[in-house]
Amino acid sequence: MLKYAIKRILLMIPTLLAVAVLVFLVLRVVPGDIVELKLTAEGGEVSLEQIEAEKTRLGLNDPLHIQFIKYMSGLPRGDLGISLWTEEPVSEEIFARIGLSFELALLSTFLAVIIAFPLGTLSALFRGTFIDYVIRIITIGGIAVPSFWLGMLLIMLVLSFGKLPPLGTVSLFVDPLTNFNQMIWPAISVGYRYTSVVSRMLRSSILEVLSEDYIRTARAKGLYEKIVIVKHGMRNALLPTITVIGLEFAFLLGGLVVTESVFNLNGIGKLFVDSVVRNDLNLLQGLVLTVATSFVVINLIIDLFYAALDPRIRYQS
Amino acid sequence: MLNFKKSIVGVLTLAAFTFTGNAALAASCPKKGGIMKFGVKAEPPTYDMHGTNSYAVMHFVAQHYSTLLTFDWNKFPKLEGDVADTWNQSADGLKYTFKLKKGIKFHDGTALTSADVKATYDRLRNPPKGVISVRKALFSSISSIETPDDNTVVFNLSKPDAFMMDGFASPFNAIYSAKDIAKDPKWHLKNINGTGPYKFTSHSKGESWKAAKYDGFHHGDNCLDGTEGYRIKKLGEPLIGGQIMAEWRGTSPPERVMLKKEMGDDVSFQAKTLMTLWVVSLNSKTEAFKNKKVRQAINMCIDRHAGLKKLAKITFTAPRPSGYLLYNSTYALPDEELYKIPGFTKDIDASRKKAMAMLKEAGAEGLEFTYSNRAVSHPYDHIAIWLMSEWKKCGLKPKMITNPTSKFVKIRREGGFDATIDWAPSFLPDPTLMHFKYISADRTASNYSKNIDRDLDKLFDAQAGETDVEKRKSIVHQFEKKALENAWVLPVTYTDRVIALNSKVKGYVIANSHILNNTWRGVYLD
Repeated sequence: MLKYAIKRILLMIPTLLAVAVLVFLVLRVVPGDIVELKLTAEGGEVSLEQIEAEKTRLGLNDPLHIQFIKYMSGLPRGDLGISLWTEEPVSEEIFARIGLSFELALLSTFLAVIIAFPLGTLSALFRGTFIDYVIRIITIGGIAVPSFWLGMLLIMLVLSFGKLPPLGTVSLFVDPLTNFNQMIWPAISVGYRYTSVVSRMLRSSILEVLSEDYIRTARAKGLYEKIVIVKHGMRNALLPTITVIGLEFAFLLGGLVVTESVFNLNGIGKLFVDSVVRNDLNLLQGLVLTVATSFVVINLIIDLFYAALDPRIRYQS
Repeated sequence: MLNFKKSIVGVLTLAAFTFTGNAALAASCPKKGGIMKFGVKAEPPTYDMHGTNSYAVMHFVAQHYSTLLTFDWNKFPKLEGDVADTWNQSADGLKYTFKLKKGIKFHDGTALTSADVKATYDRLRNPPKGVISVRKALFSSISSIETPDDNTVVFNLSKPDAFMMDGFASPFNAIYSAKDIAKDPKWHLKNINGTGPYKFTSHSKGESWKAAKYDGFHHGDNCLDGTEGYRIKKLGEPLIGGQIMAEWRGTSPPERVMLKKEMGDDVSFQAKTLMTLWVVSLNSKTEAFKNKKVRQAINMCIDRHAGLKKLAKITFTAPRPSGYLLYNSTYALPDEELYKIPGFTKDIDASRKKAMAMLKEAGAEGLEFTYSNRAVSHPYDHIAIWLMSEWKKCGLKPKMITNPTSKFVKIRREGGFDATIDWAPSFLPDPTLMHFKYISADRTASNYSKNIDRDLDKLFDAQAGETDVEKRKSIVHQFEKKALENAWVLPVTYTDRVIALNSKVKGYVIANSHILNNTWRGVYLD
C-alpha cells in the first residue's frame, strides 16, 4: 500500500509541472493589458510612457523566457508571484479566500452525501416503483436546474421571509449561527445538483452490482438480504460513487463562479471572475494551478480509497 | 523665503478677486451613531488616491483623507476650505496663498502643516520613481511651492491656470503626511494615514472595507460611528435584503422601478446629471473618415432629440443632447447655438436627407464600418443598439464588435476600430478638464481618434490661461463649435445619475459625479 501511495504521489509532480507550463503559455496569448485597464479603463489622462513604465515595474516588459524562468523558479518555494492588480502575493490572495470555498464545498458535500445515499439506495432497491419515479424526478430536476438559478430563487425566498444574512464572511469559529446563515443557502443551491449526481450514480452502481453473479451466490447461500445489500452490494457500488463525490468536491473548490457571485461570497470562484475581468495573469495562473492541485490531490485520495476498498487495485499496481 | 504679511498686503492690493474660505462651517449632525453599510461594485486596485482614476478607490478610500479645498455640495461648484482656512490669488494669477486651519491632526496623531501640503503636491506634480500620478499634467503649471510657516503654503505658477483652484478641490488630491512620503514614496499604495472623517480599520480583500469615526476630525460633521463598504455584484438584492444601505454609483431605470416596488417608502432616490459624457470617436486612420463630410453625415444621422428621450427610459443616459461640456453649466454652449450645429438640429428628416446627400457626394453611400463596443450592458449595449439603428436609417452599414473591457481598452488604444464608444469622465464642468480629450493626439493620450488639430490646441491653451470668466467662455464656445463641426468625436449624451438609498440614510447630497462627495460628511442614520 505504501509503495502504491508513493508511486501515485510521484506521478503528481509531472502532472502539475505540465499544468504550470501550459497555463503560463496559454495565458500569454490572451489579449488585454492589465496596466492599461488599471489606469485608463475609467478614463483619465495617462500617457503611454506612464503605462510602459508601470509595465516595466511589474515585469511585464521582460522577455517571455525571463518571465517564465521567474515563474517556474518560484513554484518550488510556493511563490506564485504577485497579483498584478493588488500587488499582493498571489498565494495570499488565494489563501484569503480558499477557506470560504472549502467550507462551502464541505457543507455542500455533507448535504449531498447524507441526502444522496438514502435516495440512491431507495431508488435502486425500489426500482420501477412509485418511490423510484419520485426520486428520479427529484434528481433529474437537480441535474437540469442550474445552481445559480436555484440560488436566485432561494434569495427571493429568503427575501420574502425577511432579511438576507449580513455581507462579509463571518468565521464559523466566531459566530457559528451567522456563518451557518450565510453558508446554508449557497450550500443548498449547489448541493441540490451535487445530491442528484451522486444519487443517480449510486442508484446505477447498486443496480449494476445487484445483478452480479456474486450477489446471486450470496443470496443462494441464504444470507440475509440486509447483509447482501450492505456488505456485498454497497461496498462495491461505492467505488464509482466515491469518484464522483471527490471530483465534485474538487470542482466546487474553484468552480462556483456564478453561485459565489449570486450570493456575494468572497471565494475562489469570484476571484477567478475578477482575475479574468482584470486580465491579472499572475493571479489567474496561480488560481488554475491551485484548482489543478486540488483535483490531483483529491484524485490521489480517491485512488488511495480505491486501494483500501478494493485490494485488487493495489495488488495490480 | 516669502514674507507672508508683505505678500498678503500685496495680494490684497493687486487681487482682482479674493476667495474666502468658509472656516466656520457648522458641524451638523442631527443624529449621531450607527454604522452605515454601503456597496461598491469594484475592488480598489490601490490605496493611493494620486495614482488612480478608479471610483472604487474613491468610494472606499476618500473618507480617510482631506483635500486643500472642497466643494459646498448644496451650491456646487462653489468652493470651500477643507484643510485650508482662507486663500487668495494674486491679480496676475501666478500665486496662490493658503492659510491652513490650525490643530488638524493625522489619524496617527501627527499635526498637519504646510510641509504636508507641499510634499503632497510635489508628489502629484513630480512623482518619484515607481510612483504614478495620473493627474500630473494638470499641475504642470506649478513652478514651485513655498512654506513660509507651518500654516501657510504658497503655490507659484509659471503661467495663469484657470483650472488650478478646482484642482485644489479634486477629491483625488488627498493630503498625505510628509513624514509618510519621506519614509517611502510608495507607502500610500498599501497604507492609509489621513485627516479625513473616518479612520481606516480593515480591508478584507475582495470583500469589505471598514472604517471608524475619527474623533479629531476638523469639521466635526462625521456623524456615524463608522462605515462598512462591501463588494457587491448587484445592487437590488443587497439593498432590499438589508445587507447594504446605499450604493453610490447609480441605478438603471428598470432597477429603480424594481426597488421602489419592493421597498416602498424604505428606499429614497437622489438624482443629478453625472459629468460623464458618452462619445463616439471616429478613427482618423480610417480612409472614409478623412473626409469631413462623411464624419458630419454620420453625426447628422443620429436623432438626438427624440432618441435620447427614449434611451433614458431604459438606461442611465440623460434625455437630452449636449455638446462636450455639461449642458447648462457655466461654459457650455447655449442650446440655441448648439442646435444650429450639424447633428444637433431638431429637424431630423432634413438632417438625414442632407447627410445622405453628403455621403453620396463623398462616394460613401452605404459605408461599412466597425463600431467597437464594451461588453457591459448599461449603458454600452443600449447606446450601441440605438446608434446602429440610427445609422442604418441613412443607409450606413455599421458592424458592432463587442469585447470584454480588457480587450476593448486595448483595441481603443491601438486604433483597431473605425468607430468606438468612448467616454469623457469628469468631476468638474471645467473646460480644461473636459476639453483635454479633444485636443491633438500628440498632446493627449485620451484622444482615441488620434487626429491632430493645432487650431483647437491654440484655443485650448488660450482658455486654460484665461482667468476672466466671460473671456474664457467666449474662447471655450469657439472650441466647442469647431470641435463639434469637425466631428472627430461625436457626443452622444451625458449620464443620468440616480442613487438609491435606504431611507434611514440622511444628510447626503448627491453630486454631479460618483467620485465626488464620498467622505460621508454630514451623513447620519435616522
